[in-house]
Amino acid sequence: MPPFLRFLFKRFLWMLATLWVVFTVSFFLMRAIPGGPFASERNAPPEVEANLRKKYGIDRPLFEQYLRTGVMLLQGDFGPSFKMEDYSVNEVIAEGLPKSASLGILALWIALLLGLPAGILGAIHRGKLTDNLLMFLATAGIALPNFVIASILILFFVILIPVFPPGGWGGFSHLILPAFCLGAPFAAYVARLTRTGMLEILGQDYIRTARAKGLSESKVILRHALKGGLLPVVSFLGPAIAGILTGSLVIERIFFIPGLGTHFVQSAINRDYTLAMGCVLLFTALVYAMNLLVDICYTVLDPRVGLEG
Amino acid sequence: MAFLEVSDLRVSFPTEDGLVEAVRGVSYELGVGETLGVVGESGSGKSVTHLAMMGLLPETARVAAGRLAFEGEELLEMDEARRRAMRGKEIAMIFQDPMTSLNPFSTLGTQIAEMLRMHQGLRGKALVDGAVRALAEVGIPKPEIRIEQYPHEFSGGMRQRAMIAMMLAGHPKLLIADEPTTALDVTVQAQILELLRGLQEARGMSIILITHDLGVVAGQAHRVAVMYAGRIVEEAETRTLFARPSHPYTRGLLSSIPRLDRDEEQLVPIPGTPPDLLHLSGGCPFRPRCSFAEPACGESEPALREIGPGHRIACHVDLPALLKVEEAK
Repeated sequence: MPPFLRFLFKRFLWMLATLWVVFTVSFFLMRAIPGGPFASERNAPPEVEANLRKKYGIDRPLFEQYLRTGVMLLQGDFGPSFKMEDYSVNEVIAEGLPKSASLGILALWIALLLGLPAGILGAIHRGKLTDNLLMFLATAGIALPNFVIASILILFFVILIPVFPPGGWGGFSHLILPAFCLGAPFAAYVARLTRTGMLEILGQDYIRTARAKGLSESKVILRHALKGGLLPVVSFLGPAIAGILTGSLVIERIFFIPGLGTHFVQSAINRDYTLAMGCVLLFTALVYAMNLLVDICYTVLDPRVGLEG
Repeated sequence: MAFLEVSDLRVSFPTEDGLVEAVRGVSYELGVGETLGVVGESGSGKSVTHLAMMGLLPETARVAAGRLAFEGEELLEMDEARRRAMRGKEIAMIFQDPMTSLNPFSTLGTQIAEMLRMHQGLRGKALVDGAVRALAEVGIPKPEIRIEQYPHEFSGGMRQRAMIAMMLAGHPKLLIADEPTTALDVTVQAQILELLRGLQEARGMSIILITHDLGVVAGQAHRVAVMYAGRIVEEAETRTLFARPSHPYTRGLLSSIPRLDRDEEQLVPIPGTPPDLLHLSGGCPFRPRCSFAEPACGESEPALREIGPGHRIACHVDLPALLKVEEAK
C-alpha cells in the first residue's frame, strides 16, 4: 500500500476507535444524569411514561440498551429523536447541518479575510499605531460575547439603517450579519495567532538572508515569512472549523436560524439521548477529520514534516 | 578612490539602560580583489559594523559615519530602493549558521533562482540551468538533483556551499562572510575556505572575512583588522600581524592559539572579560586586562597610529620597543 493510503487507513481506524470510546462514555454519562427524556414538567401519569419508556426501549437493562444503540449506530442509524416527535436524529441533522455549515463557511471566510491581513499588518508594524489598533480590535473581538456584537450590529444595520433582514432563513442577505457575529471571535484569534507566528518567523536568520538577497520587504514577507508564519493558524483552524460548522446556539437563537447549534445544547437539557448522541458523534468525527486535514496540510507546507500514522 | 572606504563608522542601539555604542569609530579601506580579515571576540562590533554596511540592522539602530563609500558612492546617503538594489547584486553577505540562514520551506533551486531572476534577469528554463550551474560551481555533486531538495536534506558543509552559491548568484563585487566556518567541522572549514579562495581568484571579488579565529584568517586574508570593544585596535598585513603583533590584545589572541611547532609554550588565556559597552571608563577599554598598562592608558583612549608601513595600532604603549628591550636583557 502506498504510504499515503496507509496513513489514511491507519487514521481511519483510529477515528473508529475514538468514536467508540466517545460513544461509550457519553452513553453512560447521559444516563447517569438524573431525570430522563419523559420525566418532564408535563407530569404525565406514570402509566403513560412507562409506555413511552417501553416504546423507545429505555426500560431495558442498561447494557442491552448500550448494545442495541451500538448496533444501530454501526448501520448508520442514530434512531428516533425522543423529544422531536416524528423526527429521526438523522433527519434532524440532515435538516440543520447544511444551514449551520453554510453559515459557518461564510463565517470562516470572514474570519480569515479579516484575521490574516490584520495579523500580518500587526507583525510588520509591530509596536506602532496600526499594530496597537488592530490588536485592540482583536482583543475586543475575543472579549466581547457574540450576542453583544450581534445586538450592536442589529441596532445599526437592521434598525437604524435597514440593509439586512433581522433574522430567519432565506437568501444570502440573511447570512451576512450572523456570519459576521459568528466569525468575529475567530477573526480575532486568527489575527493574534498570525501576528505571533509572523513575528516569530520575522526574527529568524533566513529572513535576514532574504533581505540580504536584496528582496523588497513585501517579497520578504510574502515569499519567505508567510508560509512559516501561518503554521500556527493552520493548527488552530482544525478544531475551530469543526466548531464553526456545527453552529452556535447563541447566534442561531438571535437570528432565528433553524441550524444545528440549538440542538447541541437543547438535546442535552432535554435528555434527548439519541439526538445528543448524534450531535456528540458528529462533532467528534468532524474534529477528527479536520485535524487529519491539518496534518496533511502541514506536510504540504513544511517539507521537514512527514506523515506518521 | 578606494573600492570600499569606511571612516569613523558608529553604530548605537537604544536600550532600557541607555544608548549602547556597539561600533565606536571604525575606519579602514579595502581594495578590489583584496581579502580583509576582521577578527574579534563576540561583542567586539565586527558583525554589527558589516550589517550596518549592508543596511541589515534593525530599525532601532543608529548608524553614522564620516564616510561609508562603496566604489565612491556614499551608502548612508542612498535611498532605500538603491541600497536594496545593491544588496545581493553588488555586496553580498553569507552568515554563520547555514542551517538557520536558509529558508527551510523552499528548495535550494527556488532560493537560488530567486537571485538569478532578480539580479541577472533570467527567466524560465534559464533559471533552472543557472541554479544547477551555481551549485556545480561551488562543488556540490549531482546539482540537478540537489536543486529539488530542501535545506534539511543537505549536510552542514553542503549547506554552506549552497549558501555561497546562492549569494554569489548575483555576481557581487564584495562578499561579506560573517563567521562562515564557525558552525562547521574543522575539515569542512578548510574546504569552505579553499572554495572561497578559488571563487575569489576566478571572479576577482573582494572579501571581508569576519571571524573570531585568527587561524582562519592566517591563510586567507591579505590584511587583518583586529577589533576590540567596537574599535579597530590593530591593523596590518597578515604576515606582519602574525610576525610582529604590536597591540597587547593581538598578542594575547595569538598566545591563546595552540601551536604545534613550539612545544615549550603553554597556552596563555587573556585574563578578564570584554568590557561592558554601557560603562566604558574613558581610558583604553583593554586596560583592565592588559599586562603592559601604563598610567596614560587610564586617561585617554588611544587613537590608531601608524607604526610601520600599513601597520596601525591603537595603543599608548610602545610594545615593539618594550619587547626589544626585554629580549636584550
